Amino acid sequence: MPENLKPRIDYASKYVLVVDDFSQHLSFMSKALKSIGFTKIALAQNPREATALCEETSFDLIFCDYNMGEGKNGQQLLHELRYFKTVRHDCIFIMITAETSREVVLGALESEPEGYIAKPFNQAVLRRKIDRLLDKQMCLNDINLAIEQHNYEEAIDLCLYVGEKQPRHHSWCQKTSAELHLKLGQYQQAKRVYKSVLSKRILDWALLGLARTHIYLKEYSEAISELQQVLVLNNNCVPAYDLLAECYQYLEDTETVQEHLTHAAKLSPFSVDRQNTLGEVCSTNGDHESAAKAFRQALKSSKFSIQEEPDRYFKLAGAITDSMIGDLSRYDATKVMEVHKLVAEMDDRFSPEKETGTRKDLINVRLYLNQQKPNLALELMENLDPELLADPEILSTGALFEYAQTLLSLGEQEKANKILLAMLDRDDLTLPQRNHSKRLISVFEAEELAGRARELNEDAAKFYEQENLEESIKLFSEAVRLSPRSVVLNLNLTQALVRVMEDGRVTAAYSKKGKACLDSIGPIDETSRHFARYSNLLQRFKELDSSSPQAN
Amino acid sequence: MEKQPLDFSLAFGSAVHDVKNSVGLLLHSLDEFLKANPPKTDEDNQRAVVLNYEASRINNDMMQLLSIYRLQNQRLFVSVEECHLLEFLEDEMLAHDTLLKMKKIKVTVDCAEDLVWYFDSMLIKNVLTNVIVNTIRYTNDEIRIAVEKIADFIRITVEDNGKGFPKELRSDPGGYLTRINFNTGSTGLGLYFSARVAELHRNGDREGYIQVDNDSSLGGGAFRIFLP
Repeated sequence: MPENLKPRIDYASKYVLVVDDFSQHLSFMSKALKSIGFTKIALAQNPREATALCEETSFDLIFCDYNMGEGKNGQQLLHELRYFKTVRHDCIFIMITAETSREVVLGALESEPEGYIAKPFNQAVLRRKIDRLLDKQMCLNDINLAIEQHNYEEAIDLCLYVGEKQPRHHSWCQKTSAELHLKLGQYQQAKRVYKSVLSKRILDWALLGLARTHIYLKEYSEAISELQQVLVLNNNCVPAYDLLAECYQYLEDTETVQEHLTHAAKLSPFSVDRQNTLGEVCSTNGDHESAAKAFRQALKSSKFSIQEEPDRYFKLAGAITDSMIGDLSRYDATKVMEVHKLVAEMDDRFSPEKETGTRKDLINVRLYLNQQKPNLALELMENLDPELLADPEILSTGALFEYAQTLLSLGEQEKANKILLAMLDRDDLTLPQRNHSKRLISVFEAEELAGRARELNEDAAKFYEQENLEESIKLFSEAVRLSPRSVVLNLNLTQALVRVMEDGRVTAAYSKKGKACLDSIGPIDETSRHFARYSNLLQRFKELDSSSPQAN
Repeated sequence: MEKQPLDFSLAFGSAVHDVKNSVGLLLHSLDEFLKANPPKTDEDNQRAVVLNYEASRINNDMMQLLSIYRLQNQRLFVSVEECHLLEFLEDEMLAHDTLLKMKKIKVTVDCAEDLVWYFDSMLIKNVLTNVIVNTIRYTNDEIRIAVEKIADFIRITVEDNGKGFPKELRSDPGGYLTRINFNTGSTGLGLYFSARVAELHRNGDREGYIQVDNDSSLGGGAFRIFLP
């Protein structure tokens, strides 16, 4: 058996961290690493200790057990360390896994470790693993250096060169070069790399990459079908769910976004950003209970980290408040207590900002409404900071949504609409926020239009009763234009048209209009309360239509 | 906390996790102990071999039981990744180093330096570990591992100079679990597991498979796994 691959590696100068909740394992690892030649070894029993150590020391190698009992697992620790750049970009992370955790570990999550080592392993295996990873790091050092210095073109050339010279790194080089093409906006080149990989073998990273490329190119249906293919290979693939959610955000199908993000959040619950986006999309869909759940998790994961901010407290308090909207039966004293507790806790942890008082008031307005105390709500509304509301531009996006939501709860739709429309011009608005804003506007518009259509319908009905069929058709048509999916309006218009045609005025325009109405209603379910009327009108229309001069 | 019905796979998984931790430490302590106190007599050496061999077997059986449970519940996924075969095999042999040295078994690995292939390295490692631990037990004093690329498949062969596989194991390696014979001491569980893992590896319309025979260049048994 060959003893060692390479000449001496300077183990003694490397900083190593071992993270494991099992103290016997820590001492095994420590002994094994010492006998390999390492001298600078730090040990941590849980992710919190590990993070603290990483803030002090810049480690070269981290060994981490995947399964560490309660709290974060190794994958989440890795993701967090990289996300906040608590570790150097070239720090080698080795995940120690057991059989039992492999399906969640393997390539399914946001951050991939440089290596895996399966339990049980002996010192010889450990040493080989370390040597290989250090060797790989040396081989790819030039490429990584070029990437770090943002010399992407150069890095791509190096990938081609190294990939050909060293077959064992070929796949890494392909993957990296495609990612660099994406960074440079060279989508066609990226596509070519992914497709050439996929022509030989279906690999999940290439499918994910291709899907990402299609999203950049706004080719969402292609991306969706590739992502579904990834999920067939591995239905625990978190990035696939994230990308699917992104596709549906672009397609403005927020219900499906919620579905996919819920999946991703279940598999990887500690990402603050994902929980926050999930909370936002749940609010967009009016599912305030689920929104509260997601915001609660986001707040919990962000606590005592740099991601903790007042906005998270407000979002959770707002979602809990809005989950009680409606009649008094939904009013829940424990939820109200939670809202007050959150606000108090936030006061405790943060010094007040310019908009803090106003945001608190806005939540209180909605709480009063939930308690069926509209007078108190209105009174508080009148006492809001006039300086802030005079110029909503200076409010944060979170506060503006709060304001719009409160106005909507008060029935002040026009005012809310104005704010939401102005918000769409903000550059910093994220895609989920944009969809949220649009949804709130369209709810308002739909209601507005429905109201206008109802008025037209009533007027048209009066003309119909007065046998002024021409005028009634004109008004019914206008109502249908405003609310095209309304079955009642379409049936009313059809009835007026049938009457006019039965009076002998069968024209191509009428028959075309009648056909369009019936098409947009039908086919109708037998159990529908409109079924009898629909069948009757359809029958009468068909008879008239066949006598139409145009119909042959 | 809300009470949830106990999920068997979860309970089983955590028990296996625990056993594997224990066995890992057991094997490691044994290694250390033997390094500090090399066996002085053949009898001591024999006892050390048994300790090591049995601990490895416990470990293998736990892994296989869990994987088979998952197989039957459609919860075993294959995660195909690029593997460098020579490294993969050398790592595998290092894991058995103590046992091989104690039994004074000569090992050769024949594999091209740059051979790279795609498979689920953890599942294939389980298959090979099981085969190799068995081979160590039944071989005379030699083991050969060879890898070749044959058409659109990679073939990994593990062969020895022992007595070879008994007839009932040679004919239909995939069907073992239907007729386990506890009297022979060989339940065939390992071969059943290997056959299923091989089948799970697919590329296009090609599917992996295993072969068990005594057509060995060393004169003993030969186990072959073909992966597309």
